[in-house]
Amino acid sequence: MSANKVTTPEEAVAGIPDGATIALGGVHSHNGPMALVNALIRRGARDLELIPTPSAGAPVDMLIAAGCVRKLHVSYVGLEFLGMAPNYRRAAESQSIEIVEGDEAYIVYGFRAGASTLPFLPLPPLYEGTDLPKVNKAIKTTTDPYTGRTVTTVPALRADYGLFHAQVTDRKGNTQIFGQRRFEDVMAKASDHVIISSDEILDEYAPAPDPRLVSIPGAIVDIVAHAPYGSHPLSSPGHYAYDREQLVEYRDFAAQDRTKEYLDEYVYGVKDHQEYLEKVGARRLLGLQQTFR
Amino acid sequence: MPEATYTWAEMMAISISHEMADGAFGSVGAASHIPAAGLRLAQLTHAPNLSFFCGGSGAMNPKIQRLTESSADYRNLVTSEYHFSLDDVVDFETAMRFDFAFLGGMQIDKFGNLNMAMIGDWDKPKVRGPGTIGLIFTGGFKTSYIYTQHHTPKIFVDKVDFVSGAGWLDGGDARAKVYRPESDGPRRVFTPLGVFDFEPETKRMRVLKVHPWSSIEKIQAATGFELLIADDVQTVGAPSEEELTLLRTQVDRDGVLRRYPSVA
Repeated sequence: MSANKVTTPEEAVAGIPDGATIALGGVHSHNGPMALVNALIRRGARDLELIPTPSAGAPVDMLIAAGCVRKLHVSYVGLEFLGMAPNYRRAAESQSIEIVEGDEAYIVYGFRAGASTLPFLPLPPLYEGTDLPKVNKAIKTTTDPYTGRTVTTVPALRADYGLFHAQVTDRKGNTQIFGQRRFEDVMAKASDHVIISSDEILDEYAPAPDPRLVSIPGAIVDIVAHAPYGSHPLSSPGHYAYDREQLVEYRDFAAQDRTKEYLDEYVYGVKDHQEYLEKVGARRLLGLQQTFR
Repeated sequence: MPEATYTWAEMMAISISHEMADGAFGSVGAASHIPAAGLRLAQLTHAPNLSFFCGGSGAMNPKIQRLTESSADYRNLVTSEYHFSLDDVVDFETAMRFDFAFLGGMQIDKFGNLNMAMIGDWDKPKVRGPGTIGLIFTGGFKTSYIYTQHHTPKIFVDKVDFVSGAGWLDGGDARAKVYRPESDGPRRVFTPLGVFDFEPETKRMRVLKVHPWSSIEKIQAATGFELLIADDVQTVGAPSEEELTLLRTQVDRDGVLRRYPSVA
Protein backbone atom coordinates (compact mmCIF):
# COMPACT_ATOMS: atom_id res chain seq x y z
CA MET A 1 0.00 0.00 0.00
CA SER A 2 1.14 3.49 -0.78
CA ALA A 3 2.37 5.54 2.16
CA ASN A 4 -0.28 8.12 1.37
CA LYS A 5 -3.61 6.83 2.67
CA VAL A 6 -5.44 10.12 2.11
CA THR A 7 -8.46 10.28 -0.16
CA THR A 8 -11.96 11.78 -0.30
CA PRO A 9 -14.90 10.68 1.89
CA GLU A 10 -16.67 9.32 -1.21
CA GLU A 11 -13.66 7.22 -2.26
CA ALA A 12 -13.08 6.13 1.33
CA VAL A 13 -16.42 4.29 1.60
CA ALA A 14 -16.59 3.10 -2.02
CA GLY A 15 -15.23 -0.33 -1.11
CA ILE A 16 -17.66 -1.04 1.72
CA PRO A 17 -20.01 -3.74 0.42
CA ASP A 18 -23.70 -4.00 1.20
CA GLY A 19 -24.25 -6.24 4.21
CA ALA A 20 -21.01 -5.16 5.92
CA THR A 21 -20.75 -4.90 9.70
CA ILE A 22 -19.72 -1.39 10.72
CA ALA A 23 -18.31 -0.12 14.01
CA LEU A 24 -19.36 3.52 14.16
CA GLY A 25 -17.48 6.08 16.26
CA GLY A 26 -18.84 9.24 17.86
CA VAL A 27 -20.33 9.96 21.26
CA HIS A 28 -23.70 11.71 21.43
CA SER A 29 -23.37 15.00 19.51
CA HIS A 30 -19.62 14.74 19.06
CA ASN A 31 -17.08 13.17 16.70
CA GLY A 32 -19.55 11.42 14.40
CA PRO A 33 -17.94 10.51 11.06
CA MET A 34 -20.71 12.39 9.23
CA ALA A 35 -18.92 12.90 5.91
CA LEU A 36 -18.49 9.11 5.68
CA VAL A 37 -22.07 8.46 6.79
CA ASN A 38 -23.41 10.94 4.22
CA ALA A 39 -21.32 9.26 1.52
CA LEU A 40 -22.71 5.84 2.47
CA ILE A 41 -26.28 7.17 2.35
CA ARG A 42 -25.70 8.94 -0.98
CA ARG A 43 -24.25 5.76 -2.43
CA GLY A 44 -27.34 3.81 -1.36
CA ALA A 45 -25.60 1.31 0.93
CA ARG A 46 -27.91 -1.50 2.04
CA ASP A 47 -28.26 -4.17 4.74
CA LEU A 48 -25.57 -2.77 7.00
CA GLU A 49 -25.14 -4.18 10.50
CA LEU A 50 -24.26 -1.28 12.80
CA ILE A 51 -22.41 -1.52 16.09
CA PRO A 52 -22.15 2.08 17.28
CA THR A 53 -20.52 3.33 20.49
CA PRO A 54 -22.69 3.01 23.60
CA SER A 55 -23.92 6.61 23.09
CA ALA A 56 -25.19 6.75 19.52
CA GLY A 57 -27.18 9.55 17.93
CA ALA A 58 -28.07 11.31 14.70
CA PRO A 59 -25.77 9.36 12.32
CA VAL A 60 -27.47 6.07 13.25
CA ASP A 61 -30.92 7.65 12.97
CA MET A 62 -30.06 9.01 9.49
CA LEU A 63 -28.68 5.69 8.23
CA ILE A 64 -31.90 4.00 9.37
CA ALA A 65 -34.06 6.67 7.68
CA ALA A 66 -32.13 6.20 4.44
CA GLY A 67 -32.81 2.45 4.44
CA CYS A 68 -29.14 1.47 4.87
CA VAL A 69 -29.55 -0.62 8.03
CA ARG A 70 -30.56 -4.26 8.45
CA LYS A 71 -29.43 -4.85 12.03
CA LEU A 72 -28.52 -2.55 14.92
CA HIS A 73 -26.80 -3.29 18.22
CA VAL A 74 -28.42 -0.93 20.73
CA SER A 75 -26.97 0.48 23.90
CA TYR A 76 -28.44 3.98 23.56
CA VAL A 77 -29.72 5.63 20.42
CA GLY A 78 -31.12 9.11 20.92
CA LEU A 79 -30.59 12.75 20.13
CA GLU A 80 -29.27 13.50 23.63
CA PHE A 81 -30.59 16.92 24.70
CA LEU A 82 -32.95 16.98 21.69
CA GLY A 83 -34.87 13.89 22.77
CA MET A 84 -35.69 10.56 21.12
CA ALA A 85 -34.23 9.42 17.79
CA PRO A 86 -37.46 9.28 15.71
CA ASN A 87 -36.37 7.00 12.84
CA TYR A 88 -34.74 4.48 15.15
CA ARG A 89 -37.87 4.47 17.27
CA ARG A 90 -40.21 3.94 14.30
CA ALA A 91 -38.02 1.24 12.77
CA ALA A 92 -37.78 -0.63 16.07
CA GLU A 93 -41.50 -0.34 16.80
CA SER A 94 -42.47 -1.54 13.30
CA GLN A 95 -39.69 -4.16 13.42
CA SER A 96 -38.36 -3.08 10.03
CA ILE A 97 -34.82 -3.49 11.37
CA GLU A 98 -33.41 -6.19 13.61
CA ILE A 99 -32.52 -4.98 17.09
CA VAL A 100 -29.87 -6.60 19.25
CA GLU A 101 -30.78 -5.46 22.75
CA GLY A 102 -27.44 -4.51 24.28
CA ASP A 103 -26.07 -1.91 26.64
CA GLU A 104 -22.79 -0.24 27.58
CA ALA A 105 -21.26 -3.44 28.99
CA TYR A 106 -22.29 -5.50 25.96
CA ILE A 107 -20.71 -2.99 23.56
CA VAL A 108 -17.58 -2.04 25.54
CA TYR A 109 -16.66 -5.50 26.81
CA GLY A 110 -17.68 -6.95 23.44
CA PHE A 111 -15.26 -4.70 21.57
CA ARG A 112 -12.59 -5.28 24.20
CA ALA A 113 -12.88 -9.00 23.61
CA GLY A 114 -13.01 -8.44 19.85
CA ALA A 115 -9.89 -6.24 19.91
CA SER A 116 -7.88 -9.16 21.36
CA THR A 117 -9.93 -11.79 19.47
CA LEU A 118 -10.93 -13.30 22.82
CA PRO A 119 -14.06 -15.42 22.37
CA PHE A 120 -16.06 -13.68 25.14
CA LEU A 121 -15.68 -11.94 28.48
CA PRO A 122 -17.11 -13.18 31.79
CA LEU A 123 -18.71 -10.67 34.15
CA PRO A 124 -19.70 -10.60 37.83
CA PRO A 125 -23.43 -10.34 38.66
CA LEU A 126 -24.70 -7.34 36.67
CA TYR A 127 -27.12 -8.71 34.06
CA GLU A 128 -28.73 -10.98 36.64
CA GLY A 129 -31.98 -9.42 37.81
CA THR A 130 -32.40 -7.47 34.57
CA ASP A 131 -34.44 -8.49 31.52
CA LEU A 132 -31.58 -8.17 29.01
CA PRO A 133 -30.56 -11.87 28.98
CA LYS A 134 -34.21 -12.76 28.26
CA VAL A 135 -34.21 -10.84 24.97
CA ASN A 136 -30.53 -11.09 23.98
CA LYS A 137 -29.68 -14.78 23.75
CA ALA A 138 -26.00 -13.95 23.19
CA ILE A 139 -25.77 -12.99 26.87
CA LYS A 140 -25.16 -16.41 28.40
CA THR A 141 -23.76 -18.02 31.53
CA THR A 142 -20.88 -20.39 32.05
CA THR A 143 -18.89 -21.83 34.93
CA ASP A 144 -15.79 -19.99 36.09
CA PRO A 145 -13.21 -22.80 35.94
CA TYR A 146 -11.22 -21.26 38.81
CA THR A 147 -13.97 -20.82 41.38
CA GLY A 148 -16.78 -23.03 40.08
CA ARG A 149 -19.17 -20.05 40.25
CA THR A 150 -21.64 -19.20 37.51
CA VAL A 151 -20.63 -16.11 35.52
CA THR A 152 -22.47 -14.20 32.82
CA THR A 153 -20.70 -13.79 29.49
CA VAL A 154 -20.90 -11.29 26.66
CA PRO A 155 -19.69 -12.28 23.19
CA ALA A 156 -16.80 -10.67 21.35
CA LEU A 157 -17.82 -8.00 18.85
CA ARG A 158 -15.90 -7.46 15.64
CA ALA A 159 -16.66 -5.33 12.61
CA ASP A 160 -15.63 -5.49 8.97
CA TYR A 161 -15.11 -1.72 8.94
CA GLY A 162 -14.53 0.83 11.69
CA LEU A 163 -15.51 4.43 10.83
CA PHE A 164 -14.21 7.23 13.07
CA HIS A 165 -13.85 10.99 12.95
CA ALA A 166 -10.59 12.68 13.95
CA GLN A 167 -9.36 16.23 14.27
CA VAL A 168 -5.90 15.72 12.77
CA THR A 169 -4.38 12.77 10.90
CA ASP A 170 -1.13 12.37 9.03
CA ARG A 171 -0.64 10.71 5.64
CA LYS A 172 0.25 7.42 7.31
CA GLY A 173 -2.99 7.41 9.28
CA ASN A 174 -1.67 8.37 12.71
CA THR A 175 -4.89 9.69 14.15
CA GLN A 176 -5.49 12.37 16.75
CA ILE A 177 -8.94 12.33 18.31
CA PHE A 178 -9.65 14.97 20.92
CA GLY A 179 -12.77 14.88 23.03
CA GLN A 180 -13.69 11.77 24.89
CA ARG A 181 -10.50 9.83 25.30
CA ARG A 182 -9.67 6.53 23.69
CA PHE A 183 -12.36 4.10 22.95
CA GLU A 184 -12.06 4.50 19.19
CA ASP A 185 -8.70 2.73 19.52
CA VAL A 186 -10.39 -0.36 20.99
CA MET A 187 -13.09 -0.29 18.31
CA ALA A 188 -10.40 0.14 15.64
CA LYS A 189 -8.55 -2.90 16.96
CA ALA A 190 -11.84 -4.83 16.75
CA SER A 191 -12.31 -3.83 13.08
CA ASP A 192 -10.78 -5.57 10.04
CA HIS A 193 -10.51 -2.25 8.17
CA VAL A 194 -10.26 1.24 9.65
CA ILE A 195 -11.43 4.37 7.86
CA ILE A 196 -10.85 7.80 9.40
CA SER A 197 -12.48 11.07 8.42
CA SER A 198 -10.22 13.91 9.46
CA ASP A 199 -10.78 17.67 9.61
CA GLU A 200 -7.10 18.29 8.87
CA ILE A 201 -4.32 16.32 7.24
CA LEU A 202 -0.94 17.06 8.71
CA ASP A 203 1.59 18.31 6.15
CA GLU A 204 4.21 15.64 5.60
CA TYR A 205 6.99 18.15 6.28
CA ALA A 206 5.38 19.52 9.45
CA PRO A 207 6.73 18.34 12.81
CA ALA A 208 5.33 14.91 13.65
CA PRO A 209 2.26 14.98 15.89
CA ASP A 210 2.87 14.69 19.60
CA PRO A 211 2.73 10.89 20.02
CA ARG A 212 0.93 11.35 23.34
CA LEU A 213 -1.98 12.75 21.35
CA VAL A 214 -2.18 9.97 18.77
CA SER A 215 -5.21 7.81 19.55
CA ILE A 216 -5.01 5.27 16.73
CA PRO A 217 -1.67 4.22 15.23
CA GLY A 218 -1.33 4.53 11.46
CA ALA A 219 -0.32 0.88 11.26
CA ILE A 220 -3.96 -0.23 11.68
CA VAL A 221 -5.54 2.59 9.64
CA ASP A 222 -6.38 1.75 6.02
CA ILE A 223 -7.88 4.93 4.63
CA VAL A 224 -7.94 8.59 5.70
CA ALA A 225 -10.70 10.74 4.23
CA HIS A 226 -9.80 14.41 4.22
CA ALA A 227 -13.08 15.94 5.40
CA PRO A 228 -12.91 19.51 6.70
CA TYR A 229 -15.89 19.95 9.04
CA GLY A 230 -16.35 16.23 8.50
CA SER A 231 -18.36 15.81 11.71
CA HIS A 232 -20.81 18.65 10.98
CA PRO A 233 -23.58 19.08 12.22
CA LEU A 234 -22.02 17.27 15.17
CA SER A 235 -19.03 18.72 16.97
CA SER A 236 -15.37 18.04 16.39
CA PRO A 237 -13.93 18.71 19.86
CA GLY A 238 -11.37 21.50 19.84
CA HIS A 239 -12.22 22.44 16.24
CA TYR A 240 -15.92 23.31 16.15
CA ALA A 241 -19.08 23.03 18.23
CA TYR A 242 -22.19 21.14 17.15
CA ASP A 243 -24.59 23.03 14.90
CA ARG A 244 -27.61 23.17 17.17
CA GLU A 245 -29.79 24.85 14.56
CA GLN A 246 -29.24 22.14 11.96
CA LEU A 247 -29.65 19.37 14.54
CA VAL A 248 -33.00 20.86 15.56
CA GLU A 249 -33.93 21.05 11.86
CA TYR A 250 -33.07 17.35 11.55
CA ARG A 251 -34.98 16.44 14.71
CA ASP A 252 -38.08 18.33 13.58
CA PHE A 253 -38.12 16.72 10.13
CA ALA A 254 -37.45 13.30 11.65
CA ALA A 255 -40.18 13.68 14.28
CA GLN A 256 -42.71 14.43 11.52
CA ASP A 257 -41.51 11.43 9.49
CA ARG A 258 -40.22 13.84 6.83
CA THR A 259 -36.55 12.87 7.11
CA LYS A 260 -36.39 12.43 3.33
CA GLU A 261 -36.74 16.19 2.93
CA TYR A 262 -33.70 16.74 5.14
CA LEU A 263 -31.72 14.09 3.27
CA ASP A 264 -32.80 15.54 -0.10
CA GLU A 265 -31.46 18.89 0.99
CA TYR A 266 -28.18 17.93 2.66
CA VAL A 267 -27.22 14.47 1.38
CA TYR A 268 -28.85 13.44 -1.91
CA GLY A 269 -28.99 17.05 -3.12
CA VAL A 270 -25.22 17.43 -3.15
CA LYS A 271 -22.72 15.33 -5.03
CA ASP A 272 -20.01 15.14 -2.39
CA HIS A 273 -18.68 16.53 0.88
CA GLN A 274 -17.30 19.65 -0.84
CA GLU A 275 -20.76 20.53 -2.13
CA TYR A 276 -22.21 19.81 1.30
CA LEU A 277 -19.85 22.37 2.81
CA GLU A 278 -20.79 24.90 0.13
CA LYS A 279 -24.46 24.32 0.87
CA VAL A 280 -24.02 24.85 4.62
CA GLY A 281 -21.90 27.89 3.87
CA ALA A 282 -18.78 29.55 5.24
CA ARG A 283 -20.64 31.93 7.53
CA ARG A 284 -22.34 29.12 9.39
CA LEU A 285 -19.31 26.84 9.54
CA LEU A 286 -16.91 29.53 10.71
CA GLY A 287 -19.38 30.57 13.38
CA LEU A 288 -19.00 27.15 14.96
CA GLN A 289 -15.22 27.32 15.34
CA GLN A 290 -13.86 26.47 18.74
CA THR A 291 -10.24 27.35 19.25
CA PHE A 292 -9.22 26.02 22.66
CA ARG A 293 -7.36 22.72 22.69
CA MET B 1 -28.34 39.70 45.24
CA PRO B 2 -30.34 36.73 43.97
CA GLU B 3 -33.86 37.22 42.77
CA ALA B 4 -36.54 36.29 45.28
CA THR B 5 -37.89 33.67 42.89
CA TYR B 6 -36.38 30.31 41.99
CA THR B 7 -37.32 27.39 39.76
CA TRP B 8 -38.03 23.78 40.65
CA ALA B 9 -34.90 22.78 38.73
CA GLU B 10 -32.81 25.00 41.00
CA MET B 11 -34.55 23.52 44.05
CA MET B 12 -33.89 19.99 42.77
CA ALA B 13 -30.20 20.76 42.31
CA ILE B 14 -30.08 22.16 45.84
CA SER B 15 -31.92 19.13 47.27
CA ILE B 16 -29.42 16.88 45.50
CA SER B 17 -26.47 18.84 46.86
CA HIS B 18 -27.77 18.43 50.43
CA GLU B 19 -27.70 14.63 50.13
CA MET B 20 -24.10 14.42 48.88
CA ALA B 21 -21.31 13.34 51.24
CA ASP B 22 -17.82 14.82 51.20
CA GLY B 23 -15.20 12.47 49.76
CA ALA B 24 -17.64 10.36 47.73
CA PHE B 25 -16.80 9.43 44.12
CA GLY B 26 -19.54 8.95 41.59
CA SER B 27 -21.00 9.58 38.18
CA VAL B 28 -23.78 11.39 36.35
CA GLY B 29 -25.11 10.44 32.93
CA ALA B 30 -25.32 12.47 29.76
CA ALA B 31 -27.95 15.24 29.52
CA SER B 32 -28.00 15.33 33.33
CA HIS B 33 -27.49 18.98 34.07
CA ILE B 34 -29.63 19.07 37.22
CA PRO B 35 -27.59 16.41 39.10
CA ALA B 36 -24.37 17.89 37.68
CA ALA B 37 -25.37 21.28 39.12
CA GLY B 38 -26.22 19.66 42.47
CA LEU B 39 -22.86 17.90 42.65
CA ARG B 40 -20.94 21.03 41.69
CA LEU B 41 -22.85 23.02 44.31
CA ALA B 42 -22.01 20.39 46.94
CA GLN B 43 -18.32 20.72 45.99
CA LEU B 44 -18.53 24.48 46.51
CA THR B 45 -20.28 24.15 49.89
CA HIS B 46 -20.01 21.22 52.30
CA ALA B 47 -18.29 18.61 50.09
CA PRO B 48 -15.05 20.01 48.58
CA ASN B 49 -13.63 16.48 48.20
CA LEU B 50 -16.64 15.09 46.36
CA SER B 51 -15.61 13.80 42.89
CA PHE B 52 -17.78 13.02 39.94
CA PHE B 53 -17.43 12.31 36.27
CA CYS B 54 -19.83 13.19 33.48
CA GLY B 55 -21.04 10.23 31.44
CA GLY B 56 -20.82 10.70 27.72
CA SER B 57 -17.64 12.74 27.99
CA GLY B 58 -15.60 11.27 30.81
CA ALA B 59 -14.90 14.73 32.23
CA MET B 60 -13.86 14.40 35.88
CA ASN B 61 -14.79 17.38 38.08
CA PRO B 62 -15.44 19.92 35.30
CA LYS B 63 -15.23 23.54 36.45
CA ILE B 64 -16.77 25.27 33.49
CA GLN B 65 -19.21 27.42 35.57
CA ARG B 66 -21.75 26.87 32.81
CA LEU B 67 -24.18 23.97 32.55
CA THR B 68 -23.77 22.45 29.12
CA GLU B 69 -26.69 20.83 27.28
CA SER B 70 -24.38 18.01 26.33
CA SER B 71 -22.24 16.53 29.09
CA ALA B 72 -19.80 15.51 26.35
CA ASP B 73 -19.33 19.18 25.43
CA TYR B 74 -15.64 19.93 24.92
CA ARG B 75 -15.91 22.80 27.40
CA ASN B 76 -16.52 20.22 30.13
CA LEU B 77 -13.49 18.22 29.04
CA VAL B 78 -11.00 21.07 28.91
CA THR B 79 -11.94 22.26 32.41
CA SER B 80 -11.78 18.80 33.96
CA GLU B 81 -9.09 17.08 36.04
CA TYR B 82 -9.04 13.82 34.11
CA HIS B 83 -10.63 12.33 31.01
CA PHE B 84 -12.18 8.94 31.63
CA SER B 85 -11.98 6.60 28.70
CA LEU B 86 -14.90 4.21 28.27
CA ASP B 87 -12.52 1.50 29.46
CA ASP B 88 -12.11 3.41 32.72
CA VAL B 89 -15.87 3.82 33.00
CA VAL B 90 -16.74 0.13 32.72
CA ASP B 91 -13.75 -0.88 34.87
CA PHE B 92 -14.88 1.38 37.71
CA GLU B 93 -18.53 0.39 37.25
CA THR B 94 -17.83 -3.33 37.24
CA ALA B 95 -15.19 -3.27 39.99
CA MET B 96 -17.56 -1.32 42.29
CA ARG B 97 -15.27 1.71 42.55
CA PHE B 98 -18.11 4.23 42.23
CA ASP B 99 -19.79 5.20 45.49
CA PHE B 100 -22.84 6.40 43.58
CA ALA B 101 -24.39 7.07 40.20
CA PHE B 102 -27.28 9.26 39.11
CA LEU B 103 -29.71 7.35 36.93
CA GLY B 104 -33.09 7.83 35.35
CA GLY B 105 -35.70 5.89 33.45
CA MET B 106 -38.73 6.18 31.19
CA GLN B 107 -40.39 4.04 33.86
CA ILE B 108 -39.47 3.84 37.57
CA ASP B 109 -41.31 1.41 39.84
CA LYS B 110 -42.06 1.24 43.56
CA PHE B 111 -38.87 -0.73 44.23
CA GLY B 112 -36.70 1.65 42.18
CA ASN B 113 -36.29 -0.66 39.17
CA LEU B 114 -35.59 1.31 35.98
CA ASN B 115 -36.66 0.84 32.35
CA MET B 116 -35.08 2.58 29.38
CA ALA B 117 -35.72 -0.13 26.77
CA MET B 118 -39.41 -0.27 25.89
CA ILE B 119 -42.98 0.16 27.04
CA GLY B 120 -45.36 -2.69 26.22
CA ASP B 121 -44.23 -6.16 25.20
CA TRP B 122 -40.79 -6.93 23.84
CA ASP B 123 -42.42 -8.64 20.84
CA LYS B 124 -44.66 -5.69 20.07
CA PRO B 125 -43.33 -2.58 21.80
CA LYS B 126 -45.72 0.33 22.22
CA VAL B 127 -42.86 2.76 22.77
CA ARG B 128 -39.29 1.95 21.88
CA GLY B 129 -36.94 3.62 24.36
CA PRO B 130 -33.41 4.79 23.69
CA GLY B 131 -31.87 1.72 25.35
CA THR B 132 -30.38 0.43 28.57
CA ILE B 133 -26.96 2.20 28.31
CA GLY B 134 -25.24 1.84 31.71
CA LEU B 135 -28.21 0.79 33.82
CA ILE B 136 -27.12 -2.80 34.45
CA PHE B 137 -24.33 -1.24 36.51
CA THR B 138 -26.83 -0.64 39.31
CA GLY B 139 -25.37 -4.06 40.19
CA GLY B 140 -21.90 -2.49 40.44
CA PHE B 141 -22.47 0.92 42.04
CA LYS B 142 -22.25 1.02 45.83
CA THR B 143 -25.55 2.86 45.68
CA SER B 144 -27.53 4.87 43.19
CA TYR B 145 -29.63 8.00 43.08
CA ILE B 146 -32.64 8.07 40.81
CA TYR B 147 -33.79 11.36 39.39
CA THR B 148 -36.45 12.49 36.95
CA GLN B 149 -37.69 15.83 35.70
CA HIS B 150 -41.19 14.40 35.22
CA HIS B 151 -43.10 13.20 38.26
CA THR B 152 -46.14 11.57 36.63
CA PRO B 153 -48.09 8.28 36.94
CA LYS B 154 -46.65 7.23 33.55
CA ILE B 155 -43.09 7.46 34.89
CA PHE B 156 -43.79 6.14 38.40
CA VAL B 157 -45.47 2.80 37.70
CA ASP B 158 -46.27 -0.14 39.94
CA LYS B 159 -44.01 -2.46 37.92
CA VAL B 160 -41.67 -1.59 35.04
CA ASP B 161 -42.39 -3.31 31.71
CA PHE B 162 -38.69 -4.16 31.30
CA VAL B 163 -35.92 -4.17 33.92
CA SER B 164 -32.95 -2.32 32.42
CA GLY B 165 -31.48 -1.50 35.80
CA ALA B 166 -32.30 -3.33 39.00
CA GLY B 167 -33.42 -1.34 42.00
CA TRP B 168 -34.54 -3.41 44.96
CA LEU B 169 -36.03 -5.96 42.48
CA ASP B 170 -39.18 -7.41 44.15
CA GLY B 171 -38.40 -5.72 47.47
CA GLY B 172 -37.45 -7.20 50.84
CA ASP B 173 -34.19 -9.15 50.54
CA ALA B 174 -34.68 -9.97 46.82
CA ARG B 175 -31.76 -7.81 45.73
CA ALA B 176 -29.24 -9.18 48.23
CA LYS B 177 -29.68 -12.67 46.75
CA VAL B 178 -28.52 -11.50 43.32
CA TYR B 179 -25.74 -8.91 43.59
CA ARG B 180 -22.45 -8.60 45.45
CA PRO B 181 -22.96 -7.43 49.04
CA GLU B 182 -21.00 -4.19 48.49
CA SER B 183 -23.52 -3.08 45.87
CA ASP B 184 -26.59 -1.64 47.49
CA GLY B 185 -29.84 -0.60 45.84
CA PRO B 186 -31.02 2.94 45.19
CA ARG B 187 -30.79 5.29 48.16
CA ARG B 188 -32.82 8.31 47.09
CA VAL B 189 -35.19 9.48 44.36
CA PHE B 190 -35.19 13.17 43.39
CA THR B 191 -38.14 14.66 41.51
CA PRO B 192 -39.53 18.17 41.02
CA LEU B 193 -42.00 17.42 43.84
CA GLY B 194 -39.73 16.05 46.54
CA VAL B 195 -37.13 13.61 47.80
CA PHE B 196 -37.82 9.92 48.46
CA ASP B 197 -36.05 6.95 50.01
CA PHE B 198 -36.88 3.25 50.26
CA GLU B 199 -38.32 1.85 53.47
CA PRO B 200 -35.60 -0.41 54.95
CA GLU B 201 -37.69 -3.60 55.38
CA THR B 202 -40.02 -3.70 52.38
CA LYS B 203 -37.75 -1.52 50.15
CA ARG B 204 -40.80 0.34 48.92
CA MET B 205 -40.46 3.95 47.84
CA ARG B 206 -41.28 6.40 50.62
CA VAL B 207 -41.81 10.17 50.82
CA LEU B 208 -38.96 11.76 52.78
CA LYS B 209 -39.01 15.48 51.90
CA VAL B 210 -41.71 17.57 50.27
CA HIS B 211 -40.63 20.54 48.18
CA PRO B 212 -42.11 23.90 49.26
CA TRP B 213 -44.74 24.14 46.48
CA SER B 214 -45.79 20.51 46.76
CA SER B 215 -47.72 18.34 49.23
CA ILE B 216 -48.10 14.65 50.06
CA GLU B 217 -51.49 14.68 48.32
CA LYS B 218 -50.04 16.18 45.12
CA ILE B 219 -47.17 13.72 45.17
CA GLN B 220 -49.47 10.73 45.65
CA ALA B 221 -51.75 11.91 42.83
CA ALA B 222 -48.73 12.09 40.50
CA THR B 223 -47.54 8.57 41.37
CA GLY B 224 -48.88 5.34 39.85
CA PHE B 225 -48.60 3.29 43.06
CA GLU B 226 -49.22 3.82 46.76
CA LEU B 227 -46.31 5.61 48.40
CA LEU B 228 -45.17 5.01 51.95
CA ILE B 229 -44.62 8.13 54.07
CA ALA B 230 -41.69 8.55 56.43
CA ASP B 231 -42.61 9.19 60.09
CA ASP B 232 -40.41 12.28 60.11
CA VAL B 233 -41.43 13.54 56.64
CA GLN B 234 -40.56 17.21 56.34
CA THR B 235 -41.37 20.11 54.09
CA VAL B 236 -38.18 21.58 52.68
CA GLY B 237 -37.59 25.31 53.19
CA ALA B 238 -36.93 27.69 50.32
CA PRO B 239 -33.31 27.73 49.07
CA SER B 240 -30.98 30.03 50.99
CA GLU B 241 -29.73 33.20 49.38
CA GLU B 242 -26.17 31.89 49.60
CA GLU B 243 -27.05 28.69 47.74
CA LEU B 244 -28.92 30.49 44.98
CA THR B 245 -26.07 32.99 44.57
CA LEU B 246 -23.46 30.23 44.33
CA LEU B 247 -25.63 28.29 41.89
CA ARG B 248 -26.16 31.31 39.65
CA THR B 249 -22.65 32.77 39.73
CA GLN B 250 -20.37 29.72 39.91
CA VAL B 251 -22.32 26.74 38.57
CA ASP B 252 -24.94 27.95 36.10
CA ARG B 253 -23.88 31.36 34.79
CA ASP B 254 -26.02 30.97 31.66
CA GLY B 255 -29.15 30.36 33.74
CA VAL B 256 -30.04 26.99 32.24
CA LEU B 257 -31.90 26.01 35.42
CA ARG B 258 -33.68 29.38 35.54
CA ARG B 259 -35.42 28.55 32.22
CA TYR B 260 -37.61 26.04 34.05
CA PRO B 261 -40.93 27.29 35.51
CA SER B 262 -40.63 29.45 38.62
CA VAL B 263 -42.21 28.09 41.76
CA ALA B 264 -41.69 30.98 44.14
